[in-house]
Amino acid sequence: MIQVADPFADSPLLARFAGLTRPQLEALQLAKLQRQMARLQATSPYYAERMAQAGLTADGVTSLELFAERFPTSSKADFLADQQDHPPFGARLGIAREQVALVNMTGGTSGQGQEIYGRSQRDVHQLGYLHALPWVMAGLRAGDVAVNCVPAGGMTTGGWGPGEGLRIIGATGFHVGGGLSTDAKIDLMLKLGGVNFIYASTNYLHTLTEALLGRGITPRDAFPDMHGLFIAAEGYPLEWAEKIEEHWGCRLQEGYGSTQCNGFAGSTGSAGVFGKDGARGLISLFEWETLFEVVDPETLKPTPSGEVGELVATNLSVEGSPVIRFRTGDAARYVSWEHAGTGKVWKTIEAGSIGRFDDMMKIRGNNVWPTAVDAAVFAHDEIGDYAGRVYTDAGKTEVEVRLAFADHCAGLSPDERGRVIGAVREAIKARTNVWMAVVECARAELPEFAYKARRWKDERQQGYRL
Amino acid sequence: MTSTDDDAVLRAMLADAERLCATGDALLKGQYEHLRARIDALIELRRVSGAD
Repeated sequence: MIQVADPFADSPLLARFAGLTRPQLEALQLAKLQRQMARLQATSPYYAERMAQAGLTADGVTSLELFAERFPTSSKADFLADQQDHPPFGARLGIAREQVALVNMTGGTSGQGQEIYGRSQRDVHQLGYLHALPWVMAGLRAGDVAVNCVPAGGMTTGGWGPGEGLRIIGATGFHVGGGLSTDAKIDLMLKLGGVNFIYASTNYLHTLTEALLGRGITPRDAFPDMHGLFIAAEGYPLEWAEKIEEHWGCRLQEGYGSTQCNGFAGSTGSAGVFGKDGARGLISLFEWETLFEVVDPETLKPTPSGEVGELVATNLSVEGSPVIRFRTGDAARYVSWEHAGTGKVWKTIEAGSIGRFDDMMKIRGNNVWPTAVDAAVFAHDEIGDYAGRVYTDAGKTEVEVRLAFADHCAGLSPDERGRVIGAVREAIKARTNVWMAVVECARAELPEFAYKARRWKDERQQGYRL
Repeated sequence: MTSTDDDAVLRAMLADAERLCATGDALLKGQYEHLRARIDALIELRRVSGAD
């Protein structure tokens, strides 16, 4: 396994952030928060109104605790309503429209609508920095060759951040996402004569690895200079992570980020996705840039360390369309800095298990998250991909999981296939408490996702047609 | 500010940016080089005479 360069030895600035005591870090957060509050009180009618509702003034935000207790949260629905009332950016923008240098929108995968964000020139540098930061922590250095598999350009933050990040690290970036087929990406990578780093969604790294193995190419042999695989956006089982590291011969790393955070807000860094004794690793949050609370989504009370809660984010440096106490809807297992054992005072969340509260499906009385099924399915190396469907048949809720075998398992006998399908069914039941019908299909029948996978369809509403 | 002043400011900024580029900090080095290159590009695109 190729070792990752120590980021704290290579960056005195990063070492200073790592060396802060908790009171020092919180004093920095409060100073930045107070600056943000004063600015928004003067420039953002949306946030000024929220402050007024809470009986707060910028000067009155005298502690992080008071801020968390008093400042109202915002949700996606609030932002969409604000945009509707004050198009296109909403009254929350906080900078003059003429100062908007980059427009980003959320992906729209929720089906509720797309949030729009107007970023200043300063924010665009910050966007690059918030990609460079986790990647430098993951061992990427100037002069390295990096392959970015996330579709570039367009209106998304993920379309612009990686390019800015690689540029300001001084790495040579090949932005192959979207425009090239998986086979064409592989052909290009083989011609590059040395690739050091890949950035991809979890789902796409799986697709890429599966395609390489299907062509009889062992990634660690074909790319001996690879020292980092950096994934984001989706959860995965540890068995899968272990196999990915084995296939590639290098460390798997993960970041947590979003449009709302203007890039990444945390990273596993050089430690990778495995923690002590092979357990899940931790994503350390960049708390001096984004203030995080982890709360119970029902009560908004702080989640105890070790429990799953909703991430609530506040931008401390972003000027254009900042989020203040924004309910992300992201579900993460919170581990306090005291329990994390990272040697730093940064809050952490568990790697590999971040999901969405609004992705949860209620099936036969059970709360089922797609990430739980992902974990059950992809723990089996033989499976290439799958699609799930929840539907109603004669008034009963049914669940079907169609799975395709990986190309490198084309030679499995019918008996062996049946055994794997049975094992997947058992694993899904163990993780979700729901028996699902598991059937095989051809790989070509399943969609390929260049970025975030949307593997589930809930068709139960259609079952109620008269 | 006159055009000559702009040139002088940019030259001074370039010299400062070049000093920053000597950093050994892996997180900052690329960002400083990015800054230096943008200043350098501004100097170049303002060049209107072969004698500059």
